[in-house]
Amino acid sequence: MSIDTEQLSTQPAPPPQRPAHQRPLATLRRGWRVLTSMRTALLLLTLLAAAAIPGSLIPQHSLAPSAVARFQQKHPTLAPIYAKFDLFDVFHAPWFAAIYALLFISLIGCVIPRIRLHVRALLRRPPAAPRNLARLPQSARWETDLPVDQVVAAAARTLRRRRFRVATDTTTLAAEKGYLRESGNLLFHVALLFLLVAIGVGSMFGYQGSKLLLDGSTFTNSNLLYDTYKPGALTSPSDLDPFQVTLHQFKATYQPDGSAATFNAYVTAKTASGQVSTHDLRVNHPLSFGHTNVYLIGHGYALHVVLRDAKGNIWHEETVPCIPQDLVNYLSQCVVKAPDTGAMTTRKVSDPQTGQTAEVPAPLQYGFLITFVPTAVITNLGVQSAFPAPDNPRAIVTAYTGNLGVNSGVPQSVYDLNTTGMTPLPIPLDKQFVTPGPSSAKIPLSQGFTLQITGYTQWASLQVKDDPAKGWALVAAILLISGLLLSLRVRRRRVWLRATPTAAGRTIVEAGGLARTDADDFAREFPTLVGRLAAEIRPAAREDPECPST
Amino acid sequence: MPVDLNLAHASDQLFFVAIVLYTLAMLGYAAEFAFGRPWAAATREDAEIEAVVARTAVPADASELEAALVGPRTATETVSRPATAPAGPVLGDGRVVEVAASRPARSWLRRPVDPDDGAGAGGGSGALFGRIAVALTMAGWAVHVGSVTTRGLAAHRVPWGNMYEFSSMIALVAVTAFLLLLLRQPVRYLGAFVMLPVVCYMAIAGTVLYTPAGPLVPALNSYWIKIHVVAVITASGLFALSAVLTGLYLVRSRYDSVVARGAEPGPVARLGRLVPSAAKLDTNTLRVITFAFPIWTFGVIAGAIWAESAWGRYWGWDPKETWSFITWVIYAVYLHARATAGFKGRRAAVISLIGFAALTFDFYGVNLWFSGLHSYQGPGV
Repeated sequence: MSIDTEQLSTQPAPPPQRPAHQRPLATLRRGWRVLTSMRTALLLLTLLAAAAIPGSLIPQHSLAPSAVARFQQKHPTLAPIYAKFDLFDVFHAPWFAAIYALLFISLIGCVIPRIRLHVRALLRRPPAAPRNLARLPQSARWETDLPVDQVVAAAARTLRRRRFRVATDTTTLAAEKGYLRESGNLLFHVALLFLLVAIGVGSMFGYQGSKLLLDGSTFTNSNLLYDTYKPGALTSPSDLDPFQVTLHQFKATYQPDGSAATFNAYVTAKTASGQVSTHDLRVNHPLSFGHTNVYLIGHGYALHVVLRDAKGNIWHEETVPCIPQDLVNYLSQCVVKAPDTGAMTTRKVSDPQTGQTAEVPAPLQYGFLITFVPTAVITNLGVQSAFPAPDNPRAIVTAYTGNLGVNSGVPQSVYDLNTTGMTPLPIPLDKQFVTPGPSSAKIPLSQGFTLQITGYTQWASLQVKDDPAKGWALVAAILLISGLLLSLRVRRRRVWLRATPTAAGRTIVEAGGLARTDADDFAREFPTLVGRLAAEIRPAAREDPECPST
Repeated sequence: MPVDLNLAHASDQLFFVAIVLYTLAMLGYAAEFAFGRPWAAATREDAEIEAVVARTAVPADASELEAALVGPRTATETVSRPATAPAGPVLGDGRVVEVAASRPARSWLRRPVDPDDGAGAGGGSGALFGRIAVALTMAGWAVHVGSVTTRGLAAHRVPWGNMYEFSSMIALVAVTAFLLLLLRQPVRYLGAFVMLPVVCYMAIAGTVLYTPAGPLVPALNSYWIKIHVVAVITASGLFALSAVLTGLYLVRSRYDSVVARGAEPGPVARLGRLVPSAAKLDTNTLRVITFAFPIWTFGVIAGAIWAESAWGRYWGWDPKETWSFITWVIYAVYLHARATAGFKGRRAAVISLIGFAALTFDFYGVNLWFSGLHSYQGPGV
């Protein structure tokens, strides 16, 4: 491709060499010019598109933290390199921010002078006619009997009716149409900046939290009560609107093939001012408290478990939420930790100095891993769930004794059981497998303890999202689309007309046209426009069908 | 409500019939090239201006000028004028404008069905094939509409809830856009090049992506599916059309450069003879993209609004969102590039094809390779 790049550059010619003391300023100016040129903007746009690609190919912290962990396990050498370049968090990486920051600076540098020029053009008359109209890309010439002043006046009328902006003097006319194109273009770019600001403000002052709610339980909006809570950089806990949500019942229905049909969470909402209302919270239908929305984002099962000692005293009773392992048929895993049983046992402890092991007394603690199967079927692979609804619910219990480590000071998840310091408790296979319910069989443990699974219920997980600037983002998006439509659909063009009297007492009319965009369309429009002008500039009698020939 | 299995079955059969009709239409367009006079194609590009302007040399004297003005419709009126009567305006390139009062109204409805006008490939038996192909395309279109409609009626919902239905809709938009274009411009030459990808697309949809009719998953059950997905389907169908035009542009400009060198064009470049000038294809590509880009923008924004009500945030860099953003940026680069002097022709064409590649990946790659929020039961949209 042999294109003279020098000639095609949109940058102005470099300025002449300046004295030494002015050079830093000149370099700055040059840098600014380069940054705000269309070429740089195109390069940055391309870079932005390219930079987004790894964000979709490599697992991202913000989207799938577990996928990131899996990736790090699978690629121990590659993962640290990726992490170094923030490839697990591309959209919050400094280099990604650098690209769009430069792009937006370039945009500002481009838009501000254009706004100035456009305002000037809006205030000014359309530019005067060039001397030789025949040299323009579009031109026409004809004669008429009308005198010069009437030609100009008639043409001005015609063009004004077609919503041209018209300026006339005695023999020439200048008209321009389609200013909205540039207005739209500028509106689009300003709206883009505005959108970025709205996104930034929203993420800085907003927050996002999620909470798992069992049927029948209540949640108060406070940063301390969330399961996960992600505030913006400038969000303060006092920004949280202290509303309450009570989940009465979560209800799911399914298609015969097991895919979800409906999810409904029947909730009661209580605003900070004490107003109470009931709602049917569904996917796509969030609950709003001002600019804070509550969404239904997940659901699952919970088991009600009771731990009793040999005398039948209850030592631990809890409704424990189970985490779905299989999002199709909802085979779920629940963890129960019973650190306090009132009983003692012995534990082997090794002395690090002597290397000897000794048995020391220790409190008896239980840990349980329970698999909940909503619709149990026996397959070659063991017990599987065949359907997400609880049509044939079963629980399979694995028990451990030993140190749960809950008092070790190391924070641990309630959904994980660390079995390293624990020993599995042998339970006969037929006793491990129970049907949850009030009369469910008691599972025998050690020292006469039993575990009973007295029932199951459901939970719903709610996401609370506060974005104080989302209304502004929407306004920006609407402006952006409006500006885009104007800048792409409106065509800007100029038309000039010059009337010259001839010796024979007639008038020569010359017209010229210049499209500032889409010259092809204008090449079609111009003849039509000239035909219209010629028709309107003719003496009225000529158009009278009663006397066609004089 | 349960799925109406009879209707669902009818929809599948109509889908198959539509593929067959489109295939026959494609063969018809190809036969037009084979049996027509393809070389006539390149000389017929200004046809649409002719309704307004009569082409002529600048007349030397008044009587010749008068003669130039005489069209069959206005003959009596014009001839009866005195010799000194003002002529119509003479344009810079010598054409004479028929003055508005006697100009017949432009009938855009009449133009399309007049296949010789819309041919672009000369007359003879070729034109007959072309006409048959247009009729087959229209029949296929009607059957295709029937297939989509019965599918929606069978499942009691909008017929664009999974990748199979989505692909069918995109193909339908592309064919609709082609037929609409055919109403207004002589673009029959495009027929074979539009029908080929449409047929391939539908064949893949009907085999690999096929999903039996069924209800929507809760996440898709929103009125936004009508707004967001319709905008995205429309823009995609149009972008697909722009990619076909770009491909033809590249072939034609290759043909032009080979011919300019005086060499013999290769088998692919020879296709360039069959299509209009590179400049015209280039302009049409720009027009289609200019038309589709705001629709795509709207589709992405509508998706963001939907995401806000479904997932609690309007933008979260989900793979589908990321790739629609990438697609948007590439087409934005294309439009900016066209507005800048340095990027016309082939370079701009390459950007347009990259944009279409990103779009294709957005639909298929993202659904088949990534799991994100847009991965609904089965291949979702």
